[in-house]
Amino acid sequence: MKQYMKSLLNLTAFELDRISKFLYTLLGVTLLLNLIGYIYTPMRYVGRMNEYMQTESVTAQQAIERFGSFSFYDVTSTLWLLAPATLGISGLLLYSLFIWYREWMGKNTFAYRLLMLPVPRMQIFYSKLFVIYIAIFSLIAVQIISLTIGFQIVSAIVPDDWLSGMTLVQALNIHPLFTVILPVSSFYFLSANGIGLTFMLVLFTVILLERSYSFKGLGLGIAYGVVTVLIAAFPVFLPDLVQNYYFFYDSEIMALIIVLMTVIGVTSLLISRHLLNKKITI
Amino acid sequence: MIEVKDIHKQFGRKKVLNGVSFTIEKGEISCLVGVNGVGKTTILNAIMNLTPVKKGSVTIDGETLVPALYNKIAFIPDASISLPHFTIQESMDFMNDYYDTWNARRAKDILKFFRLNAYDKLRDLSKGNQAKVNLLLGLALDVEYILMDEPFSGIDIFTREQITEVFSSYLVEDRGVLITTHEINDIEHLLDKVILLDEGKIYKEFNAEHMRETEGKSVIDVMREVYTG
Repeated sequence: MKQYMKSLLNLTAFELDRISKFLYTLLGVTLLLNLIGYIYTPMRYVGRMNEYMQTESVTAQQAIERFGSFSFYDVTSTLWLLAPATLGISGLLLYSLFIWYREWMGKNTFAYRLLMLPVPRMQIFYSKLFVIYIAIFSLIAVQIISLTIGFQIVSAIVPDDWLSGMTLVQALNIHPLFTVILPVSSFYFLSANGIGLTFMLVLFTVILLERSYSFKGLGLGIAYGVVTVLIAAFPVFLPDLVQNYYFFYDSEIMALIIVLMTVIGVTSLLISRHLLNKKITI
Repeated sequence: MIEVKDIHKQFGRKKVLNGVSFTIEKGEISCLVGVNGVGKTTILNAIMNLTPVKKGSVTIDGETLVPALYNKIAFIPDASISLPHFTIQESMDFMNDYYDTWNARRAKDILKFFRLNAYDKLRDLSKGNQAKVNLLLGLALDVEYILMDEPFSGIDIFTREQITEVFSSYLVEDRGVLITTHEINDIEHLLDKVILLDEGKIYKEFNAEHMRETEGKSVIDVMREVYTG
């Protein structure tokens, strides 16, 4: 067990090292664009307010009536924050494909070395999965730190009287993206992570099917992906299908979704293990 | 002993291996010979569980290959299998992290023998030097069996001589070695066993020295008879 954990940690650290440049770039871009947003958006508001008050000779109160008071939500809904968050999600999604395919790419087929390591092959799977999750949580952590600092920056730039009084948590709670990807609401956050984990397990299985059976595997993988989506989404449509016979509470639907996602996740793990041990091809 | 028993392999509709069986003993250098596309690399991949076979089995000292047995058998493929941005030292450290059988002292010896600089990055090395690193990473493992796929491919004559010297040195002594190569001339004198493949089957299996002594034929002569006519 100790040996197992040691090699798993080694592999995870190794994969982490390989993702580090990409991850640092994502984190850097996120921080930089966020910072621009924290400064540029409130300054533009303050500039507009001042200009309006000067040109129209009105009071601050009248200007607020014209432009509205400023809230942190006005910053979080700009592209300066939405773009890096979206970039992070899509970047890691692409990296989830790259993390496997790079082993087979080019002249240096590192897949040989990985598959010939004297460790259970599922450790390769787990280390890649862990690294994707470490990257996701690093981005979340940096985003939280960034938002906390950003809130202070915005409060320092905009005069108190012009602020709406909305707190950071309130601003994030009404945000369509951050309320899901950040741990603002535990329900949404856990749901997003549960769906995300199941998605990753299915995606890795699809990749391994393709790596094992080539074009036929790609077809099988796509079919597997579609079937898992249908199974996972089934509880959502279930109340409509049985509305004349049975009424489902939301909690029952949620429990069914959790059970089905667990089944999909475990099935994906078992298929992946079989493929890695018996079917994978260099 | 590596025992390959009745393995069959198909790529699409093309049958590549059609019931191949042979054994590799410890302390014996064997060579798989055949024209391009005859399935030599596929056999090595199948032994290492890097490609599934349709039928048949491969055992290493009576056991089916499981990851722990990669401490017993090493494969040196015809491509660099370390990361290009790694230095040779980093590649050796990587091996040391995972293989119980990594012999750092022997690695140092081979590094010196090949006159390689441990701090050179693999991507900056010539093809010949990359092949040497590949050999180093395989030979520095204290394994009982070594498989090598085309160790002379695209390599200059001086490097070939060095690699041949490795074969005749203590580095492969007492190990079971299986090589595939087109450059049979370079190692013919070192071979114990030659396995000739044709049309997905073992066409002939013979002792190179015995063939020379009894029939006066070299391996190339036998190959010429089989493949040309």
